[in-house]
Amino acid sequence: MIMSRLWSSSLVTSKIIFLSYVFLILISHSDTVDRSKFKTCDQSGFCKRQRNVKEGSATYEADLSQGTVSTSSVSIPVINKGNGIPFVLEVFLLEGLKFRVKLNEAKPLRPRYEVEHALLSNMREGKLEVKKAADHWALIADTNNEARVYSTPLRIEFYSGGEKVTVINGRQMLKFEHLRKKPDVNDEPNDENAANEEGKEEPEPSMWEESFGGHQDSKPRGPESVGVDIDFPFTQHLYGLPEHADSFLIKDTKGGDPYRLYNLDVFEYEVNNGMALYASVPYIMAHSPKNTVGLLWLNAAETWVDFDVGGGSNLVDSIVNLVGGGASDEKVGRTRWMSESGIIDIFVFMGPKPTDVMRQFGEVAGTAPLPQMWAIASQQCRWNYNDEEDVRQVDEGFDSHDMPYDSIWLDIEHTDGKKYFTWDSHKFGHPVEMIQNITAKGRKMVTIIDPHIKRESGYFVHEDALRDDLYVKDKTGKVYEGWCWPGAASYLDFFDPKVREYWSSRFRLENYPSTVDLYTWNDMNEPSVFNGPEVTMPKDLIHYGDWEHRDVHNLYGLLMVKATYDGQMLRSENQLRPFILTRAAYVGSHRYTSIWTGDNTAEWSHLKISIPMCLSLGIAGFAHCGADIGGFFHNPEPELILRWYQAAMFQPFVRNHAHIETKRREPWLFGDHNTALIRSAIRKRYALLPYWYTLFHQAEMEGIPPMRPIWMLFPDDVKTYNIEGQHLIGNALMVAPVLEKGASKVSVYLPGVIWYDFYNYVAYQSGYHTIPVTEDSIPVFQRGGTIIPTKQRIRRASTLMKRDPFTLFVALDENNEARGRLYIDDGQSFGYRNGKFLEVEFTFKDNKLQSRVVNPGSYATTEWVERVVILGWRNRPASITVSSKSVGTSKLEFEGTHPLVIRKPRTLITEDWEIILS
Amino acid sequence: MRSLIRWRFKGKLKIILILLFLFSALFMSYQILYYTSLTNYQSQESHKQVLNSKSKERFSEESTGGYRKSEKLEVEVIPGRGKLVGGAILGVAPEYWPLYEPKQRNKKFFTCFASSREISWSKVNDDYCDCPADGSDEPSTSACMNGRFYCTKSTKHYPEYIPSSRVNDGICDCCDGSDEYESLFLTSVCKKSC
Repeated sequence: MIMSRLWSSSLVTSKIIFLSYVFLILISHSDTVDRSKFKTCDQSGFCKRQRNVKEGSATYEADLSQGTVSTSSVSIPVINKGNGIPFVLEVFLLEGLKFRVKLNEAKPLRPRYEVEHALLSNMREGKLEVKKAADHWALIADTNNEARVYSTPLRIEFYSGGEKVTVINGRQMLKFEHLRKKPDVNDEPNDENAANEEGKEEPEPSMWEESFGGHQDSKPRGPESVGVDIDFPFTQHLYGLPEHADSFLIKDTKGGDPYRLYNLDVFEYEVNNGMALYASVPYIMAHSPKNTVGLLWLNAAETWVDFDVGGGSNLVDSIVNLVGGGASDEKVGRTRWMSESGIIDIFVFMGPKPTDVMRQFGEVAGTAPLPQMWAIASQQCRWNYNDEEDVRQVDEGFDSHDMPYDSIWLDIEHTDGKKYFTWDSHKFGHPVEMIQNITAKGRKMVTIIDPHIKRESGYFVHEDALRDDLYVKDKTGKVYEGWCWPGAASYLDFFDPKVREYWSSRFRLENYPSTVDLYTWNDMNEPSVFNGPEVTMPKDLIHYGDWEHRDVHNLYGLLMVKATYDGQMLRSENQLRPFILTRAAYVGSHRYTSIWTGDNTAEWSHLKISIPMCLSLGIAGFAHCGADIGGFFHNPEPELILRWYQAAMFQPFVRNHAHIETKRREPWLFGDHNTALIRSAIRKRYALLPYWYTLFHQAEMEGIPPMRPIWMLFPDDVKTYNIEGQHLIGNALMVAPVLEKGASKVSVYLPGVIWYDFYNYVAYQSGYHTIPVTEDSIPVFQRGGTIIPTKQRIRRASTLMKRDPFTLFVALDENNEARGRLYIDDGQSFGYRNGKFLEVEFTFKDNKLQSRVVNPGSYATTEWVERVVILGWRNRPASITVSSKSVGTSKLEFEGTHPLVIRKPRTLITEDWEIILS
Repeated sequence: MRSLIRWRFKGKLKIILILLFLFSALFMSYQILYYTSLTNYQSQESHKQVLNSKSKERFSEESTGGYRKSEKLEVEVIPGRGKLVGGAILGVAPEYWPLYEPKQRNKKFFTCFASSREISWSKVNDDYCDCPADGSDEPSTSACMNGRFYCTKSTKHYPEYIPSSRVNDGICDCCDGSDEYESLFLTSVCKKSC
């Protein structure tokens, strides 16, 4: 209150305060995050209440006799015996072995929020068979999969292949705070308003208001949190729950705070903890050799998740386990999910294999659409490129240093006073000309567009928003005013369809001086509010539909990128694939946007954490994920940025970006020697673009991300379950980047049978290996049995490589066989959704390499095959012949045995062909 | 910290200016030399025999907006020698032409400059890189990553050499557009700027 009065007192004072705030942000180079700005579970009223729930305390019972059954679902009344509050439990079967469990109050005082926009609207229902027993109903999906609803006490069990894989409320820790009227302060608590909820708890002061860091949360709707235990009796290997700067394998939370999901702008975040970050996807995968399941907790409010997965920080537990030898026998992964409002809405994806779970997740949340080719190449960003001349020089710098890149980005300083959709008239006076100069070389540009709107009369977005009522309101119905980059700012309410439509129309070229080659970076969309509680919006703000910000917080960023996506579609008349980079995200954001891991730091630990962070986002749908190369804050030493470049070139999204107070960081500024090494790393990325592109297409089709955990391909190999520093790209490449300063070797685990170093062709049998590395080394291995399409002619930009010939890398397995795929299209349009693409299958078998076009004649291109490299060939062949329609049958020249390099088959990629070794 | 950066910047600026001056002086003197060699080359041209070629590639009307009809480049593909335009080997400076003249030198093999590897003449400029160290076998094409392409003409604003990767990528890098002889996918119009 005091703070807000101060700010409204006079414009001058507030400006001074704001400037000093910005100044503090800019100059404070403290090395750690300011934890006092962010809540612990104890400081979050509902989390504290939920975490106090004891095992066996819940008193919910399902009345099976009153249950009803339809083709795909059951509906069963549930009562909380402790206070008599009635609930409705619904269990749905969705096609493709997915269960959905919804629990809501039967007669809530007001409707409770159910998440919209996150999932696909056209989920197909499955066909359910219900077997009724005295104490439970069995909901049978097929011979291997069923769910069982037990009545007393209420619990729901899921079985896959005879194994119990998931249990909801098995430990009876369900706590569903029903909506209630605020008790009069003078009244004694009575049974009717159930202040003594569940008959055990005392009312807590945090139920009707709470404060944190000088911010008051008025909580007019009172306590309304939901929480339940969900156990995985078959495994303690749980993965995901992005976004946290933490390991991919989820850690035990006993003795610490739960993992938190609440989209927040965390300044200088630290690694290896479960603090909330910019994105929240309440999704995990539970994995064992036999089964894999996925679990989605569909709730957009602030959420905390506790994990009991062994190896916790509780010393007593560890000792008990050690002494009793219990750790090895114990394999139940226990979790408990707690959200501040909304309902309980859980999806269980039954697997049984990791790729099945990915497909099932994709059928519910959608998949990441195939990006344009340029977007998966290398991008260059900085806060800020100062003016048009700076942009020209950086672009020129890439050319003069012969380094490919595909886009240059402009941060907030390109605008006229942080007014998005405008250009600074002095520094960027000719935006269209500038963009065209960049795009003339086949490259693109990206500008930042944030959700905070400068409150300045005359700024069209602000004027339109006031006139047409487009802003988020405070609890009294007034337009909410916060502070962000522009100073005083208000925030568009993207939950309102008319706001989204308005936003989309802003991208039309007549509204935004630009071209269709200018794409968008949506930052600060948690939303970040510098003077708000925990640097975001107060929870009692009101959004479209009369929902409190509390109910929908984690969805704000999703709706913003959805509107941006629609805007890019609009301006190109649905021709060009949009590109958006977002910082905030929720489940489903990946249908519209790429993501990066936000404002990281130039430290080795941050390079290291980029792998688990993107693996975690990857299994939650975000196929296109990356981290700022070099680290956003501070200056990386040359060795760090070199190693970062090398690692990042094998991650899905590649961007060099840095804070305004750091030294310039263009890749040629670290000495000639490092320039050459970085160039070499970037070229490796461009060479592999055909493979990456094929994988991104697979991500759209099958929901499997290009960057994969090793166990996705080797589900049975328990040695892969704890690996955090290695990952797969597709099913053919294993990457083990150098993540330590001064490293001369990297320890690698290779599952399966045989692998080949992708760059020096050394063969490795499966097992643990210590790989020596040089400055130029990136330990990358091709799996025996795979074929990888590459292009070895590296151009200035990926778009200029579209006519160039292919080099195929064929790595033979123990049976002298290999397979691979190639997907090609125009690299930019939606033509591929109408069949304008080419899919090619490569097979090596019986000394013969065959290329077969799956869909002949669908896409015209002159691309051809210039080289075939075979790894694992044993004897020098007597002769090699190629045959196809365009080249007839002719002998080919070749060199070596391992690798065996076949020179210039000259076959077209659009035709079927074969090469025979004899 | 700030003043230190400024000092360094000033120091750098000074060096840059000096270098710039030296460079322009060198460039001017080179221009004079080049002019003489150019006239030599033109006088030689009339004696050159015109070689037959199987495929004759021409700039199409629409893709060569910058050229008037009479100025169209005629590209002749000579296996084992290179792409020829008006008798010049595309991508090779005149002083290096002898290295690409098998008959004159009466040699059985072409020798990669850097690696001294010997390859048959048919592999020269056949759009496959046989001399990966320096790209010397493919001066006319984009086949080698480490190769360079000599622009048949250059000016103050346009370079003499470009990396091979810029040959036929759809963007004019040489002032006469000689790097974009496969007009097939000429996406930007080469304005004659020599």
